[in-house]
Formats: sequence, C-alpha cells, structure tokens
Amino acid sequence: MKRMLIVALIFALGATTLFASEEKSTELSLAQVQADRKAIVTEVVAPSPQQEKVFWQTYWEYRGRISRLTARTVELIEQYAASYAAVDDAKATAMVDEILSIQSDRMKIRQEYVKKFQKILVPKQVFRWYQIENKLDAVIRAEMAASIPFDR
Amino acid sequence: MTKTHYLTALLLLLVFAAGPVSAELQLETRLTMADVENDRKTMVMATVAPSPQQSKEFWEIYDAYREEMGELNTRTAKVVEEYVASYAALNDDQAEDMLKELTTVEVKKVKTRQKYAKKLSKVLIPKQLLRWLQTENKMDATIALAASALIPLDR
Repeated sequence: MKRMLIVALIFALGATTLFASEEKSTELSLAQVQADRKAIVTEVVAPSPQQEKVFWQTYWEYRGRISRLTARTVELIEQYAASYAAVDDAKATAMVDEILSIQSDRMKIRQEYVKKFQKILVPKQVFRWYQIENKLDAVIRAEMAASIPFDR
Repeated sequence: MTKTHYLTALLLLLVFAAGPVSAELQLETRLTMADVENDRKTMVMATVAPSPQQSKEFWEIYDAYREEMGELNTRTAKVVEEYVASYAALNDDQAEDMLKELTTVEVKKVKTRQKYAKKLSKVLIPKQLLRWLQTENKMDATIALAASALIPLDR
C-alpha cells in the first residue's frame, strides 16, 4: 500500500515537473503533495487511536499556517520572475525583507508546533513527524525554486 | 526543460523511489549535493555580478557565510546519518537529542542568513542583494531535496 502510494506520488510529481509549464507545475505539485500528505504522515508517524484526534487537529492547524507562508513565497517568486530585469531598489529591498521574514516565521511556527506535538506524541513520533515534514517540504521548496530565474 | 527542471525531476524520483537507504543511494545523494555545491559560486557570480569595486569585499563576506552554513549543514547531515543508521531501533532518548539538534541548527541557519544579508546590504545594491538571496534559496532547495532522499519513509 505504502509503496503504491509512493510510486503514485513519484509519477504525479515527476509528470508535472517534466511536462507542465513552470507556473502550472508549481501549482499542481503543491496540490498533489498536499493531497498525499495525510497518507504519508499517517504511515510514518502512526498516531495511536488515543492520539489520533488531537494529533490531526494540531497537524492541520500547523499545515494551515505553513500554507499561508507557502502562498506568500509563491507570490514573491511570481513577482520576482515578472520584474526580474527591471526591479527597482525599493521593490528589491521590500522583497529581501519579505524573504527573510517568511524564513523567520517558518522557523518560529515549526518551533511552536514541535512543542505542541511533544505534548501529544512520544519523542520518536515527534522526530519522525519533523523529518517527514522536512522531506515533503523539500519537494515543495524545490518545485517552487525551479521557477526562480537564474539569468541576469 | 531547463537543466534545473531536469535535475529536480531526477531528484524527485530519487526521493520517493527509494526503498531502504542503500549505500548506493547515500553515495548518489552525496555526489548530487557535491555537484550542486560546486556550481553554487558560479551561479552566485553570474546572478549577483559584483563590480570590480565590490568584488573583494563581497567574496570575503560570501566565503565566510558559506563556511558558517557549511558547518551547520554538516551538523544536519550527521543527524540524518544517525537517523538512517538507527532507524528501526530508534529510542526516545535518541529521538529527543536528534530533534533538539535539528531545531537548533534550523534556528542558527535562519539567523546566519539574516546576519549575512545585513552585511551584504552594505556592499551590494538592493537588486544584487535580492539576486544573491534568491540564488542561495534556489541552490539550498536543490540540496535539501537531494538530502531528503536519505530520510526513510517506512516506520
């Protein structure tokens, strides 16, 4: 079951990355990772029936907050790609501030939720949750980063 | 499809196709990460394009930044290796220690980036600073994707 899920995810992600336009690819893959996230996290963290309700409540609350940061990042990348050649100093400074602010907010939210999950899960489960989030987020970040232009 | 798209697609296959973490996968991942790291300075040079007047000071600060980030990345890699090695038999004490180390490193990385953005803002114009930051983000995202191939999906 788990392998089938993973293979399905590979094809979903691989196909959109390879064949879709850059913007579409980011949107589709983000949606697919989000859709498969619950199944993957369930497999890895395996909350017990006693943990389940509060774990998922906390988890979706966490994802909601992280999703708002992801939306800010996508907006920023789109702005950057659109104004790449002609960005003025004021806009560039505002974008630098926004990038650093998103990164700082993400770190603070993760710290906050590590503490929350430590009250719900045993340490081994918290660590696995943290690592699987890193893995899934790495896919999303790479998808988004692929849209960042490199040329001058 | 750009080279970056191609690399990302390949990495996605590595990340999710992997079963147990084999020695081959670990080697493949390290080589990919080394490859991206080798390209980093060239990419930064091309996108930031420091002027001859900026160049000396920019590279001094940049190299110091990469050294600090490199040390933090080594700490992260150590935890991931430990996790892979002890995965099936991971106990709660180990898990707590490793989580503490990873969260500490994550905070330090954010602060290090902020510290160096401030330093570089005194050398570069805002447009160059933005390009430096976005290029670093892009390279970091590729490295993180490669590294994440080592994180097991099984319980």
